[in-house]
Amino acid sequence: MSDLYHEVILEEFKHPQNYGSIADADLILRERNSSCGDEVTIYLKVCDENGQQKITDIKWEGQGCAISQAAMSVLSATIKQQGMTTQHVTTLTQSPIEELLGLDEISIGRIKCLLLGVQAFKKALQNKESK
Amino acid sequence: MVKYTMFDPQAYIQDFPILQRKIHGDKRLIYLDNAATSQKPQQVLDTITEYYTQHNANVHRGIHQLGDESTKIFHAARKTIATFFGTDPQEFVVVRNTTEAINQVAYTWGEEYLTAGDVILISEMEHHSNIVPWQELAHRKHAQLAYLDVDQMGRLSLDQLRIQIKTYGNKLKLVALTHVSNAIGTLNPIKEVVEIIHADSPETQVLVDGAQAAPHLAIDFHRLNVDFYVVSAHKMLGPMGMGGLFIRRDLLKKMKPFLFGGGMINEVTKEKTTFAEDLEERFTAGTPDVAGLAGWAAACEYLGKMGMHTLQEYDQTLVEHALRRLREIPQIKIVGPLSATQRVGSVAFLYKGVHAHDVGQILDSEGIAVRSGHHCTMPLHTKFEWQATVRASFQLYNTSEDIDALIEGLKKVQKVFGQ
Repeated sequence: MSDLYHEVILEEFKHPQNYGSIADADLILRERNSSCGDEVTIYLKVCDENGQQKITDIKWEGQGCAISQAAMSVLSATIKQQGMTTQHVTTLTQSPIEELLGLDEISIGRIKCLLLGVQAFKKALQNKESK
Repeated sequence: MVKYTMFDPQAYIQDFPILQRKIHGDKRLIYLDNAATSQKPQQVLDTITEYYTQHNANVHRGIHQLGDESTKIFHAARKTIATFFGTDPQEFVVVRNTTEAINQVAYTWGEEYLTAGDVILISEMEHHSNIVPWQELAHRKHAQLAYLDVDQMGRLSLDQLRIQIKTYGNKLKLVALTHVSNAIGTLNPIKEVVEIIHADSPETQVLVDGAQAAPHLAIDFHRLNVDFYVVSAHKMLGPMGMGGLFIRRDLLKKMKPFLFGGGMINEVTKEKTTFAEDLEERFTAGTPDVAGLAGWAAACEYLGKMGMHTLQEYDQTLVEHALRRLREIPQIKIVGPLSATQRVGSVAFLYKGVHAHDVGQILDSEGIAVRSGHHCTMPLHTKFEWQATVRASFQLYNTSEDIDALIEGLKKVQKVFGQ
């Protein structure tokens, strides 16, 4: 894991994509990993597509370790590029995010950092379902 | 001689280093106190040693190689153990032993859901660990503790269970029963019990004490369809100080944690705390015993390799042999079921005119370890006016020769006491 802090991650961390907020966002998601202090706030513009929420724009703000912030950066870029639905984001697992960051396999202690953004979507979906 | 159809214990005895030691000089150790605690195979001991010599570090958040290894071992062990019991880590709360598991249910579920006038139903054959926590809870809550009778043959009556369910109606909040009696070996028909309760009183929760069942039977938590199942690792070849409280997921989700502190939180402020959403985390406060869990998982793998059905069959042959040979001694009265198929793991008896402690002492002089006393079942002993009983209990490393040695030892009792 000596190559964990390779160019992609450091670049994404220093110059995150889609960083910022959306004043008239349709959805605002928040997630925090209290044990290490990582946090992220995600602003979304969405439109209805066959009963699903298609994401048309995404911005995010956050702070935390390089892994959590770089992962959120590449996640936001992919969401935007592919025009993902919020439901689709909740199905993302560890390995596609690792791939986006050019990692083989992250150590077990960092998985939560990697999935911080995805977790925000999952929690929002759960809250919606339980309402 | 007993015929071993599927299982040859000789192939495994060498795995248990303690069985090689001598007792009182040069006597071979004949260990028949397995219901109290089992011996541990080298595989379990090696796993624990390897953890401390190679991987020791605290789990989670240690961003270093040892921390990662320890975290992986921790989660893998939890998975292995939960799978062994037919469930998954999200329904598995680690405790020190069966007693602590039952206390935890009493202090969390009991405190939250029991009110004055409610009824907890247990049986007369329960171990004190499945009596006292409920007595205490009933006192605190002004609830009633009711008992199912045990008959002369050491069995529960399902008809009486049906009547009790009808009598107590919706006041009956919990039925807590042992799967296998530690004192008289009775195998209770838990599946039928659960079916009756679910049919007649679907809101009643069921707790099963699996301390004596887990070492001998294949346990499938989901198939048993109970709400709580509790076990101890040390009775099933694992280390002491490890136990399992298996709780139905939807019930666990609603329950408050028993222990609060590090590791089980989501966010802590000066005023309040939110708890981890992940059930494994929420119910693991403080540093877990990773080495112990790894050792217990190794025990599960060891047992799983032979297959619990094979081991149960083998246990039956030992119980049958013990019942048959004990009947040869006229002074002996066997307590509990007389049929091997209604028993698991042990045979207990009275020796006419000789106290159980004296019997135990004489057997010990021959290198034979048994247990004498009330076996933490005083209400059962009081009911049948047994002052104390002698119990021989088995594990996969016991052989029919061990039981034959027990019989020879009992003949020495005859000689010493002249009766």
